[in-house]
Formats: sequence, structure tokens, C-alpha cells
Amino acid sequence: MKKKDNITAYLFLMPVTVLFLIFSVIPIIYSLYLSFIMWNGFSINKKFVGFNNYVLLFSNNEFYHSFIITIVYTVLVTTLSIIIGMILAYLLNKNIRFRSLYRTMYFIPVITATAAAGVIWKYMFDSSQGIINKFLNFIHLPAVPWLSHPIWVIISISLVGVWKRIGFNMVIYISALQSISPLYYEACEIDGATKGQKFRYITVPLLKPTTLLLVIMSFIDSFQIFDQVYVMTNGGPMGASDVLGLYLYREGFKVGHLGYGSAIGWVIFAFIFAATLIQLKINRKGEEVY
Amino acid sequence: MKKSIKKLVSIMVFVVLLGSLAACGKSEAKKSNVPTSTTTETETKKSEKVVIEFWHYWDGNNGKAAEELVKKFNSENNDIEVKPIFIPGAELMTKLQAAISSGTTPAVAAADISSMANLKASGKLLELDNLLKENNVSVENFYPSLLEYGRLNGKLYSLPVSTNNLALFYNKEIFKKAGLDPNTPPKTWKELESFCEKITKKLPGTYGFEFYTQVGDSGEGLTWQLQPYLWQAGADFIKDGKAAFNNPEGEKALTFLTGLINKKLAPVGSWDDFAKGKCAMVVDGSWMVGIWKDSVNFDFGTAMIPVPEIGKNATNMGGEQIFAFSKSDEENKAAVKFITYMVDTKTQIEWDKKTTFMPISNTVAQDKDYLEWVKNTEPRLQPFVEQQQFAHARPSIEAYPAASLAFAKEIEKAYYGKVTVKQALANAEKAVNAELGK
Repeated sequence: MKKKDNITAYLFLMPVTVLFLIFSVIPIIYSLYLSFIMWNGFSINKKFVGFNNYVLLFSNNEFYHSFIITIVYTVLVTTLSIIIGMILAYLLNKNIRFRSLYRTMYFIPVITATAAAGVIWKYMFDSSQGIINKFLNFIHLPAVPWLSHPIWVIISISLVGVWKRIGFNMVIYISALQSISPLYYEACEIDGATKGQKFRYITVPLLKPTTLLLVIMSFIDSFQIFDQVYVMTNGGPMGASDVLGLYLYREGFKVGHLGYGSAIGWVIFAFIFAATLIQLKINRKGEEVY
Repeated sequence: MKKSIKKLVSIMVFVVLLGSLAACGKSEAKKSNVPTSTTTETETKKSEKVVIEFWHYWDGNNGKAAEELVKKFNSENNDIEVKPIFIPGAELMTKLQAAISSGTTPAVAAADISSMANLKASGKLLELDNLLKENNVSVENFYPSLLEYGRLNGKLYSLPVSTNNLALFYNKEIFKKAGLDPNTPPKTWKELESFCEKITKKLPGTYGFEFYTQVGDSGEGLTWQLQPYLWQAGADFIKDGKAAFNNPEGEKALTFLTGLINKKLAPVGSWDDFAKGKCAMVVDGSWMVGIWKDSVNFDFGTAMIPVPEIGKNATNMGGEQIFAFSKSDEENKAAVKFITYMVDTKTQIEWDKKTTFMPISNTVAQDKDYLEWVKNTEPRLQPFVEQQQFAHARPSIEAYPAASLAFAKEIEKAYYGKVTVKQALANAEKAVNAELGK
């Protein structure tokens, strides 16, 4: 009887497992293999070069440049989207009018296709024709070179990243807020705590596990950014928004450095893996103190 | 009872998934029994068609023209059916790469000339020499510089199917408003610059001239727009396997372009201002005649690219090559028959008229009908036709895409004023040579 049960379980797991093997595991192993060879994707000659691709990568300034930009983007998006998402969730968890309308509004960016959103933002950010600069002009503020200045461009793409993530963070926070027992707040009120104190000493600490989850998810997601930058700036101006994903794409698929591109991919993976472990560890240490 | 249903469902799901996976891999039917017309059973042998796929990236007007040509071929050949499949330009090479490694290549494809070095190196292209002879195609007809892209170790793997070059476009209405003669485009670099000065002075907010200044997707946009000026000034891009632009001639070319940006006569970082009517002149390809004639709301003219005071005419040659992947004998024959049709003078004249591409062979270039058509219907193609003789070919080597990107990255810094012309060229030389040495 038990064995039969197992067979059914395996059969049910099989389709996903097969797809996972074909579309994830095999390509991952293949890309690891690729990162040790020099190959342009077409030629019959594949040259085994050992760790040479990685050596080249770590001695290339462009890689560090892309790495720093990606980190800046990731940190900006993660912190801002979590802070704003938490505040929104706190506000929209109260009994206000049109509550579900607001929730829907903030969630729409999450389900919008990134590429489509990127194109629209690109038009809005246009320095001469864009609606944002036209508005700034209307209220007598100077125009901002959103996508054509090396520093502004990072801020602009980060803003879009934040805009895209807020809704998701908000929804997760709302469900977490609803699981906080009102007893805590009541106890606080008896002790005479203000609204701000309640938020600071009850809400925020009790949301900590959720925050950790969102930090990790947002970090992993943002670090792999590609499509949004691809449609908005394509890495420009002058490589100022050349994030790692884009660097990988150009090297691997556009100019025929397939091995080098795979090496970039593996460095991205290793970094995300290490960063996630550290984040988990920091959190566990925090728990011990309590 | 319940368990057996569960099991049945899971098995069914599994089988369906496997089936769909298998279907992914086998998209190409080798043969199908498509009846050519209302055939009786005795005729089934005759009605067996060879179905082959033709991948290309021509969109819009050009795509329509390509499909019409294919349709005509299909109606003329009862035993072959060519299925044209459009793949966006940015994806074609990635798709072909995947197709080559999984063995699901199309029978015929057309790709940019700059991609040919990589495609030939795959070892999967069909050798055309003998099959072309069987079809009585004399290769000598095609321009030698175009034919060069198809050759590897003395064998021929592709034929030119279209070509184009870069020339100057100018907005006649802006010329009039700036007090310039709308029928006298600039002929020299100096004239170009003085025209720009007049235009920007008279019409603030309008640029005089624009060229591609961003690295973008692959760097090639910037590189291919800059190369004509290098050649005009007497420098080269790659010569004898080495970068050949870090010299006084190269400096002269780049100084001319950065000068236009520094004097605010040309924009940096933006592109397509010409089509929006915000820039008076641009250097672009012949195919833009066909696109802009219907899509811009101003009158424009064309001219050969202005030359330096001491220098020569030059332009960059673009275009596509058509080739077949080695498959079964039957498919190979069908593929070569289709290629033969596509490069045939008659087809080419129709093709060039519809797309405003340039002639690929002398027979087309000297065809009375074609020349008459240019003169009467599309005189704006005249400068391109005249320029074809000065068109330079980009080196057909596997390292070219990487070299082009390395070059563009360094030159972009000069356009943005971050480094001097001398530094940019020296850095670019180093970067390009590094790619060539790999």
C-alpha cells in the first residue's frame, strides 16, 4: 500500500522534475562548462582555457564598473521599496475609504510587463519631449537629464525599479500586519504609547521576519536586473547604466564571448548566493539577542 | 479507486508534457503530402512537395517585398514550397546559434554580411560551388567585394542577396528656412560645418547634422557610421589583422566629428532627430529612402557623403547574404534553386525597386529598366548608386563583432568629451588589437 502511494507521488512530481531538469539543471551545468572554454557560439573550434575567463573577468575594469552600478541599483531599490511598501501597507491596513482601490493601484505595476513599463518610462523621462520634464517646466523648475546624465540615469532606473516593487512588498506586509495580534497594541495603549511609538516598537519588530524575506527576494531580483535597463537605456549614456545583466548579454550573445559571458553569470550567482547567506546569518544573530 | 484515478491523471499529464517537448524539437517537416491542387490518388507521387524554411529579418516594407518574392517562387515551382519565417534582426543570430547546436537549422536563411564570418565557421553551411553550376549561375556577375563575404578557404558558402550603402540625407525645408539652397547639399566637410553653423544660428533648437554616438546593443551602430570618415581621410579600420586608425588620418576624421559636437552643431546621445524634423542632415542607408518617403512630413534630398578637402570618396557597405544549411540532398537542391531565384537579375530588379536596396551585380546596375526607374521614380537613390563603387567592406573575420564593440566603447568617450581624440584613438587601438589577438 505504501509503496503504491510513493509511485503516485513520484508520477505527480515527474512532469515538473523533467521540465526542471531540461530547462534549469542542464543549462546551468552547460553554462558552467562554457565558462571554462573560449567559444564564439558558432565556430567548430572550442578552446579549453581553464579559469582564464574568470581571470580576465576579475582583471577587467568594466566588470567592476558594472558590479558597482548593479550594487547601487540593488541597494537603492531594496531599501526604498521596503520602506515605502511598509508605510503603504500600514496606511492601507486601516479602515479607510476606497481601500481596495488604492491597493489595486499600487499593485498594478507589479503585474505590468517590465519591458512595456520600461518603454513608457523611457518616453516619460525624455529630456525634451517627456511629460515629467514638461511638468517641471510648467511649475518653473529646471529640466532634469533623467536618462542622459551618468548619475541621474541610475536614479531614474532605480525609481522605476522601486515603482515596480512597492506593490508586491505592500501586499506581503499587509498580510503580515493582519497576523499581528491587536492585543499588543492594546497593551501599549494602556501604557500610554503614541501612534509613532506603536509603529516603532510593535509593528516594525514584529514585521522583521517578513522584512528579511522581502530583503532577500528584492536583493536577488534586483541584482539580476536586465530587461528594464535594456529597453530604457541599453547601458548608456557612456556605460553609466551598464548593469551586470546587460554586460553579460552583450558579451555572451552580441559579440561572441560565450565563455566569458557564462563566467559573468556564475560570478553573479556566487555573489547572490553569498549575500543571501550573510543576510540570513545576520538575522539569526539578531534573534539570539532577543 | 481514487488512487487509480490519480495515477491515471498523473500519467496522462506526464505523457502530454513529453509529447509537447518532443514536438518542440521537431518543428520542421522534411516532406509533406500537401496536394498541389485537387489531385486524384494516382497523382500523389507528383504532389509530394519539398517544404523548406527561409529565415530572414526584413520587416515592414522590405518584409512584405520578400514575402511577395517567395510567393512568386512557390507558384512557379510546384515541387517546392518555401516558408518565409521572419525573425527580428536582434534575435536572428541567437536563434541561428541555437538552431545550429540543436540541429534544427532552416534550409535557407539570410543574414547581415557582418555575421557571415561566424556562420561560415560553424561548418554547417552548404557548399554552393557545384550546385550553382548545376543551376547555371555564373558567380562572376556579382560584385567581388560582396562575394568575398561568402568565401572561406576558396569555397563559396553564400551569395549576396541585397546591399546598401550610407549617404547624406538633408531636410529641404530646414535648408530653405535657414536661407540655404535646397538643391545644393554640402560637398565637403568644411561646407557641411558651415551649413550647420548657418542652420543652428537661424533656427535655435535645430541641429545641423547627426550621427550615431552610442555604444548601444553591440557597438556596431557607432562603428559603422564612423568608418566612412576614416576611409575618406585615408585611415582604415583594420588592416593586415591590426587596428589601423590611430594615425594622423584617423585623428583628422574623429576630430571632425567631435568638433561638430563641441560646437553644438550635432547632438550627442540622441538619435533619430532627423526624422522628427529637429536636425537638418544625417548620414544613413539607402533603405531609409523607402522608409522615409512615406513616414516623414517634410521634403528631403540625398547626396554623396561630403568629403574632406584632402581626401577621397568613401562609404560603408551593408547588406545581407543568402545561404543554405547542409541537409538532405533533396532539401539542398530545393534550397539552391530558391537561392538561384532570389539572386537572379529579374528578381533582384523587382526587389531593389520595392526595397530601395542597391544592385548586387553589374547586370542589375547596368539594367536599362532599373536605371530608368531610378531616374524617373526614385532619383534620391542616384547618389547611392553612384557611391556603390566607393563602398568599403568591413573585414569579414570572426573577431569583427568584438573588435567593433571594443572600438565603439572608447570612441563614445571622445564624443562625450571625456577623453581627447588622441587618447580615444590610442585606447581604441589597444582594445581592438586585444580582441584581434584573442
